[in-house]
Amino acid sequence: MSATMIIIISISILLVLLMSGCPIFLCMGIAGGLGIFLYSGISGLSVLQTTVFGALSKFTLVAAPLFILMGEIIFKSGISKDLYEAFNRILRRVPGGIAIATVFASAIFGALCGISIAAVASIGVIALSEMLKRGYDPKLAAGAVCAPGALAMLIPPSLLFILYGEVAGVSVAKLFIAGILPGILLAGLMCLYILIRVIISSRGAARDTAEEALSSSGTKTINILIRLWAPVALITLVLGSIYIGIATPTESAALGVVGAYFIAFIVYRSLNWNSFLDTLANSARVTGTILMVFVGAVVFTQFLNILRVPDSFAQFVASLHVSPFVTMLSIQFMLLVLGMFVDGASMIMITTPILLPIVLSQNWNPIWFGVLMITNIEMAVITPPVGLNLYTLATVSDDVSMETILKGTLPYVLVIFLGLLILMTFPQISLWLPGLMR
Amino acid sequence: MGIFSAVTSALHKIFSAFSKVSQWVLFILTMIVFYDVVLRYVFNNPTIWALEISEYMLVFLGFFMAADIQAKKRHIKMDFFYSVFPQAVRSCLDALFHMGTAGFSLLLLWSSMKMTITAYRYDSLSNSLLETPLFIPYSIIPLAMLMLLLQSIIDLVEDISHMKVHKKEGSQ
Repeated sequence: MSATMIIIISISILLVLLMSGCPIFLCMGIAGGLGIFLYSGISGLSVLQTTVFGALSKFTLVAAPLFILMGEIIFKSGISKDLYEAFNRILRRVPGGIAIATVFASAIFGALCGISIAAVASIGVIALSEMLKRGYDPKLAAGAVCAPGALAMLIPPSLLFILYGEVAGVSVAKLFIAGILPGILLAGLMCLYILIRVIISSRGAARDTAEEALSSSGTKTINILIRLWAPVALITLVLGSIYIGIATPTESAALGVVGAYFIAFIVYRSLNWNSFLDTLANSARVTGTILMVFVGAVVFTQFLNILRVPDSFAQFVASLHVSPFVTMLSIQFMLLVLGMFVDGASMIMITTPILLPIVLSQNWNPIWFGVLMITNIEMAVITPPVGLNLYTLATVSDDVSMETILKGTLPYVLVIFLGLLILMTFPQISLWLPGLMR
Repeated sequence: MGIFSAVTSALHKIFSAFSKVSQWVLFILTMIVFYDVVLRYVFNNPTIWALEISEYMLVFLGFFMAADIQAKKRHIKMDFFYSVFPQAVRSCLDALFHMGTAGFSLLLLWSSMKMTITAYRYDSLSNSLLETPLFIPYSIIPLAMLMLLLQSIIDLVEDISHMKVHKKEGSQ
């Protein structure tokens, strides 16, 4: 059988299995395994163990379970309430202040806990009821809660950056640092959208009166701000140690977990024995599911490499003589459509091996491409049918319907897309900070 | 069916026990990396074992949760189209997926078993100061894949009995 035919058969099987609801690790495992067997026979399959073991036993990948655990601890610690209250008190006199405070709190929460649905489930519930109580338009409130949760994937520490770095062979430390400015940019664009929307419609977002603001200010605000020393210290410890270059992402993840335990047990006193065991159980389960997808991806990548699919695909794209901007835009549209159906971690592991040779052949920086890819996935978590953040908000809150959540969140897809275009046009936003690293 | 239930229950207890062990492996992994960071940056005296052991623990975490996750139907999948299929179609698909899982786990079991036996036979050691006998970390994959294979067979038997029930209901 010709190599082209084998590629067509394997990729068709992958797509059919994906669409029919087969576990993703299996889709890639079967498609890759069958492709290797058809091309190299049984001898090709006999070396799978070496490939899988070698790919999984990497110290950089150890950062993944550790950051997942750190996120779980932070999620259960109660920090989210303080973060939200602090920003709320600072911003409540600004038009749409509570919604903007939710964006800021979600962004900072994202720097502590790289799980997008965690911010929606923790900050979102508090912020949504507060906004509705104060007469905010339910659509505005739902959107302001749902969309900023996605920032956690771009603002480091991000699990998706670890997976992308591992598959693409790019420095995870540099990817983390590259995500900071784009994360701030997207948070800023979301705030700007809220501000413009509130000013234009002049309804739907009540502002505090001077009396309310006065009664809520003073020592209570200062106390809450003082309590924020712990999350600020944790962010500084984790990101600072990576940026300065004194710790690898895996080492900083271990520091982060110990710091998160300190915050949850000592500062907030919110973790008991049972919730401690819960954090371990949830983290181990999430790690297990993601690493199994990684195993499937390793088998599929092995198949792609044996048949030199990525190189052929890159040559094909180059032969089209399309401008780099159009090529990049086409890739982003493809990722956007795929992201509507496949979760972010799986999407990275399926598409990176195929797209990376195109990135390299076009002389694009793989760190920049990683930032664009993860920004794109931010849209995926807020678009149906697989938008995890949408379902999370619908599950944790009875105050808004799914229709309201969808209508409220849709404009943020355009906001993130605008951010994506800016990041595509100005790669320096992503590459400036990593360029300063030692 | 009595024996099948008893075997299933016993296997689920084993898978669940491995799942619990994995949770503690995660905790110990964190502490090992933290301990090494402290020794490296505070005492300038890193261990020779932390890096290598943590890599093996990651392999353990990746594979030993697989059977328990499969038993609890928690593997990541794209179920948008799947959820709109009729129950009978879903049962057939489940049976196919479980057959596929059995095949995939058998494939990894076979290739990893070969490698583990070879490593044991030739006393292969890791290329590090620790010189770990490689058959120990290598044996993680065949053991875990054996568990996943058994869970897939359990699932397959259950799928077939579900399909029989649907067929019976359909004919009535």
